[in-house]
Amino acid sequence: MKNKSIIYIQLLVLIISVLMLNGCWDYKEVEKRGYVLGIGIDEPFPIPQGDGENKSHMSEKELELYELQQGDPRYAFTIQVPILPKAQIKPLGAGGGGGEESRSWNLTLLGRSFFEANREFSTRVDYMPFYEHLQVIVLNENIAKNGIIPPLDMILRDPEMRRRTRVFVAPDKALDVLKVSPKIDDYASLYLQQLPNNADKTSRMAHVTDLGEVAESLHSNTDFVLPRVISTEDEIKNAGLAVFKKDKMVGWLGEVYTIYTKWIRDAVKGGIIVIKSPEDPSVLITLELSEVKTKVKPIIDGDNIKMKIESKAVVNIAEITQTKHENVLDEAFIERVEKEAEKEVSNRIQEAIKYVQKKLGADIFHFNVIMKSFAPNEWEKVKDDWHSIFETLEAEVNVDIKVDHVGIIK
Amino acid sequence: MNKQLESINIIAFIINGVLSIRLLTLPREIGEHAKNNGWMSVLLMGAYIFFVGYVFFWVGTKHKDLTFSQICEKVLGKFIGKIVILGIGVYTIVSVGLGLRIFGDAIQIYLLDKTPLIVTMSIMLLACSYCILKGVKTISIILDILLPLILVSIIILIILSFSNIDIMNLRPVFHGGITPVAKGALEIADPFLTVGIIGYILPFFKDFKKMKKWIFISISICIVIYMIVVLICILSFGSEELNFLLFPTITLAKSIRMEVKILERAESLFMAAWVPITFTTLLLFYLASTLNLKALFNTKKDYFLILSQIPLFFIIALYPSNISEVFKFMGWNEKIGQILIFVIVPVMMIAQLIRERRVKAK
Repeated sequence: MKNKSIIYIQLLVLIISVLMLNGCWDYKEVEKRGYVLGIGIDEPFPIPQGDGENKSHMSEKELELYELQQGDPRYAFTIQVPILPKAQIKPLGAGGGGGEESRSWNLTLLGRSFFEANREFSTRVDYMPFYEHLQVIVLNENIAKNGIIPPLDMILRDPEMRRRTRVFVAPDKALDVLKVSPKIDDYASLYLQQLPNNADKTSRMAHVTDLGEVAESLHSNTDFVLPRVISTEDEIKNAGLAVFKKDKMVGWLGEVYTIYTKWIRDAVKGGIIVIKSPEDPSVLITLELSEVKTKVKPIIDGDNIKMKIESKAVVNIAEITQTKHENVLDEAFIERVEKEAEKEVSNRIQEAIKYVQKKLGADIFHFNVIMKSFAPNEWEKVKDDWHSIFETLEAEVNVDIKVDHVGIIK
Repeated sequence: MNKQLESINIIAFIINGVLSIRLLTLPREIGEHAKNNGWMSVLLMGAYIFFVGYVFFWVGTKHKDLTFSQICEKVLGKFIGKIVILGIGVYTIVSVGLGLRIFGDAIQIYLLDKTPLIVTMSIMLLACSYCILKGVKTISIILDILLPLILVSIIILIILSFSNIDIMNLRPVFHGGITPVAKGALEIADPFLTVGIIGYILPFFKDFKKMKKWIFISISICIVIYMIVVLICILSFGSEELNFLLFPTITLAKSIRMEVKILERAESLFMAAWVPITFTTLLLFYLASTLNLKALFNTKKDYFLILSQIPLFFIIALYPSNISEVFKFMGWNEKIGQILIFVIVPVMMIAQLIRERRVKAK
């Protein structure tokens, strides 16, 4: 008898736990999540985007406005949500091709606080925006010029966000970049996120510029760069840099300067350099970078600070625009090519430093980090007026280039 | 007391005890003082911990059937002994309470944002008290099961994080001298003090054969793991950024990203690990606290003591209104821990030595 009652009690406990414990407070259907793929931050724009003729509905412009609790709208926040049923790239091959309809939905709201805008999206979207899979953040140039800490604070603070989210700066509207429907991908955000992976093919794009990097630079008072992104209706291009001094953008850096900025920062993963042939200046030789290592050290002589940039590179000869074939197996020729390349690179590095010092005044080469790391005592003395010191800082450049492969013809 | 444990079981007790929820916040706490030399702080404290571990073991072998608290009373005299036991009691109970709160908060922030705090906390606490009611043998088996899981997931986290590191963040090495490093070392005294669990479980062991070796190995493993985690956090964030991160180790796990689209949410691996990490630490603190209270009240009523602590834990866990208050209380509790580790432990050793000499003299 006693045994039986124990079994009954156990059964009862079992049934109760089956009934009570199968739910979950945080249960959420996967298709009810609004996966935000990209965020665009613009200045508020006073342009109607929808068709204003349909009077029975509000125009899109009016939808984008809402009553703020404090202050006036300063930013136009755009989030990109995928329309999953319209996705064209199927997991297995076939598919793609430019569709007529947009495959993503870009919602814009004007506001001051991103989190307020974020919650205001719930008045328009059936499912809550979910940021765990956020791929890119695109900032408009003017926003960047006014300081990026306020618009990015929520993104850094919120536990849903990831530090590997890439950040871009667009000279045009950030919304336009998100609106692009790439020909071979479904969503502009995903496409843009993948682009910097090509940094081993070209050094004209930055590749380690994610949210974590931005946060580190902002918090340690280091100047930094973000990649520039421009767009047409169905194309995106990621090249060149936006230069930030503290938290404000101060200007753009061209593509070739980008190569050498990366070279100084020891961030070159690949790419090419083009030099004139040592024999005939009208012939160009293209060298493919296979390995670049740069070490920067300060040379301190009393009050005089100099930077010593030592770089070692291994290159392959990729192309020689010549009329008659030279003998690339000729050691003397290879040596002359190496010399020429060394000269070219060190000149370009000097040029890039001079340009940044004069035109931008932002220490994007992280010479201050070098000072802090290798000469902490001197750094304590100069850190307060580092920017004025940086503008006249001299650099000593030593480049050592070795040719490795020469291709398969002489 | 029933002696059921083999001496190798001590590994699981020590490692599970020392690797605590503090692993999530510690890199920042050390970094605030020691900057980029934080890893040295761990080594510095680690050296001292070998001594502490040895004292607990040595004193324990002298009184084979007594827990550390009972030894305190016997060696230091009834009055001082009781004060020390009371100190240990406050320290262990507050540690469980606040540990529970940090665990609940972290769960709420990163995993289950709608589940009420009290539910996650009570499930954790119920599991702990159930284990303790079942006895030391059960605890030992559970710790043995969880140990490889915890170690493997921490090692995976460390390996995956290697893609983010920047060696420049370590420089300048040892700039600023020893003082910041020592201050940073004080921060880690609290999680390392859990080696004191040795003093409470020794009476449950059959014999002490090779015990010294196992204690040495397990403390070394703990030091290495803490040091690497602190090191990786400094290497991947830099000491300045580290100061801004409330839970640097979770942020570290969240910032893992590969170029290829695998392991997109690698942090879930680590999330799965720190639930057992917290569980084992809380469990051992709970165990120590129970044994300590037994010594304080000189009673044998296990059930009553175990269950009566539960409301106390809840009150302490729910009293702070936000995380900054939790950190404040934790700071105070750490002070008690530091007194225990830097004053009581050496005092115990000296008192024991004096006692022995007196016995010899007689």
